[in-house]
Formats: sequence, C-alpha cells, structure tokens
Amino acid sequence: MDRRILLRNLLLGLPAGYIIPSVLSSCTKTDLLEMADFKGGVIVIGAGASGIYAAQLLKDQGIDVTVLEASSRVGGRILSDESFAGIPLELGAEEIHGQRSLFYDLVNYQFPERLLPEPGDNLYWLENQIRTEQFILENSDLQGAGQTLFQINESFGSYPGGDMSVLLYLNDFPVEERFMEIANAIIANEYGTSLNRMGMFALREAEAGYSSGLDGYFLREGTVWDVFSKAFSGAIDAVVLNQVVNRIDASGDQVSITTTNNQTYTADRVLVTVPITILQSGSIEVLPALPADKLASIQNISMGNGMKILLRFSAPFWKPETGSIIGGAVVPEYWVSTLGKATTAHVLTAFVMGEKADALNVLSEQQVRDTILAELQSMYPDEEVTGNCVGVLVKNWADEPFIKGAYSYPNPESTGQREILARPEHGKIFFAGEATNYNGHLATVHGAMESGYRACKEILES
Amino acid sequence: MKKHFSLFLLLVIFMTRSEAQNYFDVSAGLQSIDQTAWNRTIQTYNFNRIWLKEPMPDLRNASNFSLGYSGVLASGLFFSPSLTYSAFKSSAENENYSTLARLRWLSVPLCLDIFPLEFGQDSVSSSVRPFLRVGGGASLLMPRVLINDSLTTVDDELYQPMVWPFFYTAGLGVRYNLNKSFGFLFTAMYLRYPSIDLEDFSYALNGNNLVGLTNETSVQSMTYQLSICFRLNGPKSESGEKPKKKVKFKKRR
Repeated sequence: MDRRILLRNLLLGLPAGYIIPSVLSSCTKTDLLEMADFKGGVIVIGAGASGIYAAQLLKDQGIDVTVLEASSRVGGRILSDESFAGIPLELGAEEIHGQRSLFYDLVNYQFPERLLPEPGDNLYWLENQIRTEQFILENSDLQGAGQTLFQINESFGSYPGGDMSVLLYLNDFPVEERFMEIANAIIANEYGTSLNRMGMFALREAEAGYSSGLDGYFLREGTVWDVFSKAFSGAIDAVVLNQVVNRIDASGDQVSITTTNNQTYTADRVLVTVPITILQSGSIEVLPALPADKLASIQNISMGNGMKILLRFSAPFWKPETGSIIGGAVVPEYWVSTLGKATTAHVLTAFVMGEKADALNVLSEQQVRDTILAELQSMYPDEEVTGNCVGVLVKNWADEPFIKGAYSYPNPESTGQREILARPEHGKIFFAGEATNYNGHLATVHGAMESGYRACKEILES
Repeated sequence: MKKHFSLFLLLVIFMTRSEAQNYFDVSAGLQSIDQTAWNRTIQTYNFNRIWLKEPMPDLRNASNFSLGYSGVLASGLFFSPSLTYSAFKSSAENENYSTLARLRWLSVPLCLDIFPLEFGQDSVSSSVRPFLRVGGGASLLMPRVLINDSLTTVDDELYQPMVWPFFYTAGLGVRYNLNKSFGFLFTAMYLRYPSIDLEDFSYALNGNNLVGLTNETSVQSMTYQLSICFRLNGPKSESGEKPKKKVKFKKRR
C-alpha cells in the first residue's frame, strides 16, 4: 500500500475515534434537569421539613419562592424546648433513622461530632419485670417467643399472606399474649399508631421500601432545627408566618392562593406540604376540584394522635446503662433523653402514639403526669420515682391546630394511596410531606425531605 | 463457561506454539463511557445535597491498562484476546466530608484483527499496518460508593456487588513495527454493552430511590490505547506465512 494513502486513511480515521463519543452523547439526554424548562414563581404551603427543603432546592435553581406558614413559627413537627432541663430536648422529630438518609448526610456534613449512636440498652417490661434483651433471648421460657417476635419485626417487608390488621396477624402467628405490649411498642408505636390500626399490606409496602438503615442516631447537642436552619436559611427567609391558606384556585393561568386574613398570593405553581390531617379537614378549598381518587387517597391515609411527655427527675432511678424501657401498658416506650449528652439533668421521654395517646388525650396534664409516674413506679418498685419527679412537660401534637396529630401510618386503607396523594394535579398543584412518601420513608424527617425533592423535580419539569 | 475458557486457552497455546508470528502488547490509554442512568444517580445526589460545595462529577473517562496477545490465524487475520483494566471515579472532596463513586472495570475482549491490505500476501512490505478489529467479551464491574472513606450500605449490608455484563466491540487500529521484535500499536475501539445492571447503585449513593432512578442501562464506550508490542516468535513474515528462501542464482561466467 502506498504510504501516502495509508497516512491519509489514518488521518481521517483517528479523529473519527474522538468524534464518535461526542456524537453518542448528543443522542441521549444526560442532564438530570435537561427536561426542566420551568422558570416561574412557586408558593410553598407549609414550613415543615418538606416545605423548607423543597423551597431551598427551588431557590437554588433560581426559582422565586414564597413559603406560607399557618402558625407563628417555622419547623412544623420539628420543635424543641431548652427551658425544661437546661439543654435542648426534642418535642417532635428526634431520631435519625439509619445512615443512608438525606438527613443523616446533612448532620454528618454539618455537625459530625454531634451524631450520637442510639445510647444505652433496650430494656423490656415483661410480666411485671424489667428484662434485658439478652435475658429474653437466653431464658428458656422466653427465648422462643422473644426470637419469634424480633424475627417477625424484621420480615414484614416480605410478608406473603393476605391483608389483615397487624394485631390479627400477630395473634394468629402466634406472638404470645405476654409479648403483645412489646410488639405494640416496637412495631406500631414506632409508626405512630397501634397494632389494631395497622394493615399488613400497608406495613409490607412501607417496610419493603425502607432503605435508610436500622441504626438509630440522636444529636449529642443542639437540635434538629439547628441543622435545618443552618443549611436552609435561604428558604427560611422566604417564609411568611401566620398565613392560613383556605383556598387554592388553579383554574386560571396562574395559581391564586387566599388566606383567612384575606391575603392573596399568586404564582405559577403551588406546592402543598400541609399534614394529611389538614387536607382531610377540608379547610383548604381547591379549584378546580381535585379528582376523586386524589380525594379518596387523602381520606385513606391516616394520622393518629401522638404525645411526647418529658419527665425530669432529681436523680435517676434507672440503671446507668438504660437506654429505653419498652412495653409499658400506658407508655409503649420511654427513653433516657439526657443519656450521652453533656448535662447533669435526668430526663425521660415518654413516647405515646395511637390508642394509648388517645387514652391520655382525654386526661388533664396532672392526670397524665400521675398515670405515667404510677407506671414508672410499678416498674421500679424499690426506687423513689414519684417523689423524685421535679417536672413534667406534655407535648400533645393533636392539640397543634395546623398539624392535628403525629405522623401518618400504614393503616389498611393506605395501601397504594401515597403515590396517588403525591401526584401533581391540574399541572399546577404539587404535593409533598411525609405522608406522600411512597418509598417506605413515611413518618420520618428524611422521608419528608425526599418528598420535597420529588415535588421540586416535578415542578421544574412541569 | 469452563468449556469456553478451555477452548480459548487451547487456541492461545496453539498459536503460541505455532510457527506463526505472534505479538504480546502492553497498553495504556483512555476509556470513556456514555450513558445516562448512573450519571443521573450522581446528579440526583448532587441536587439533593445542596449543602455540599463540591459536587460529584459524572462518570465519564478513565485511564486504562491492558495486556494483549495477537496470534495469526491466517494471512491478514489475527486473533487478539486481551485483559483490560479501568477504574472510573466520581469523587467530591468537601470539608471533612468526602464522597466517592468508583467503578472498577475489568474486561476480557476476544477480537479478530483483520488486515485487509494483507489478505493473500506472502509478506508485508510496510511497517505501518492498519487493521479492523471486531469482537466481544465479558467484563467484571465492581461498583463501590464510599462516604468519608467508608463503604456505604444497602439494607444494612456493605454495598460491594460484582456485575458480569457482555459486550461487543469494533474499531480501528494500526501496528507500527520499529524492527522485527518491537513495535507500537494504536487502537480506537467502540464497545457496546446491551445491558449493565449496577444493582442498587442509586440506593448505595442516595440512600433511596424515590424518583425511580434506573440502575440498569445500556452503555456505550470508546477506548483509545497505545501499546508497546513485543514479537514473541522468530523472524517470520508479517502476514504469518513462512518467508521464502532467497534464491541464489549462479553467475555464469
């Protein structure tokens, strides 16, 4: 072959090798937001975790965002108190669920030294005795039933049977009656409800999607809101407080939002992040009316009562290694909220959800205090409990007028409903919030944040 | 699989022991990949972690290294198995916080090198020899995600899958023989993987998959390699045919 011809061929061929990849690239869309054309304004209703996070994401994309908050504070179900024990204690969202979550990443980035792996041992109130997990798993009388319960709790994501209440399933399995309060605490109370109010299909749906990990973390110092406020100050600056929205009109080119104090806001899109209870109450009129399946999804997802009661003692009556006491008939779970923190205060948090919260809800604060202290005294008969109690702070989330409960839970009717709830309507109305998380992370801060991201992406691509 | 591997070994041994002209190549180069799904996962990570000052870049280019062998099958036709290693990286270093998505990529392509200008020729006069290369093979992919130098988890287990996708490839190359025992080789190859499933990559990086990111995707790749070639056998013709003895004519006086 003539060398000149060969060289010419090579000169033509080699650049082709470089050109091919760029040609290939031009054939496919590689940018996450390549389809995003939206450049208008957005109103976010609700300044909780999902609303604030979504607002920050939108602002970072150059979108003009206003956040309307019904109450006089930001944060929604993130709330703390520092006056009760001299250190900040969480009255709302507290635990960081797993290492594989947005919220864990945020804390790990901003305040890695504050991450406190769930401290202390889990103790169980069983047959009028406080037992360690080790005792249950090694005692010949208890180990079989104990192992069964712990194994069941890890297998809901692959449940193969028909739909029924979780209580019925556990009764049939069988989980022994003496373990049922513990089952209620570790399965239902964690989800913000009671065993008889949960459905197996909805629980399977939630557990199968859950991916953030089983390790629990708390904050050694500071608050959950500290983390949010540091990261999302731009969104927080965009919040207008005391704006109770009662009408969303998406029938025109723009969305018009009216509040009870006769303020009107207009934007190109609206993101609704209010709790499911507020949607259920019908206090927000939506025009044009939402489709029937959306309205059904709103009614089908339940959210129950939830209380956190902080009890401060002059001296601890529990053993130093105590982390949680699980399985009480009045309070499904107590934990030592000052454990691992730099304080001399001794505080227990009583975490009560579902039916048990309903039972306490009808009592006065004094009666709540007396009832809980009586249960603790029965657990520690040889210690002075009631006399050592120097303060009680009751946070009843059902009393919050713009929240009306704790968080959504997997009730039987909610199966498959969260995705419908999350779906945008009329091309202008978008939905976020923990109840719209259909990926297993309902009822968590990071689940709320994920829903904020999902809605933000939908808006940008709308 | 064992059967195929045995056949492959027999073929290599046959060619090595034959009288044919064989090469051993040591190569370095660049591999670029073009696909959407994994980079969307990375972009989703960046989009969500707005607090990170340094975002993670897309997975796009990597250096590669390979060992190859070329054995002649017929005049103008060579069989070229090789072993190629690449490591794609997308990393972000933020203050006290590092994120790394790494994709180790080990490929075994089995190719035919077709020297169209040398078909039917007893010898090759040119030291510059263009060829077409076609073939296919399998790769071993080992995706890993590390945050602050620790492997991330999926369902509370360390994320360290091994994936074995198949591919086919085609491209151009040119051999340049400096002398009878040493030379260079340049190749530009297009590879297509019909499907690679990076099992749970979106979970490993993002911790969730709320917006339905896909881990399974087809992948197109280009590799460019420059090789140093060593001739393994004694002096034979470049086409693989035995050189003809020079005929000495008796001079008539």
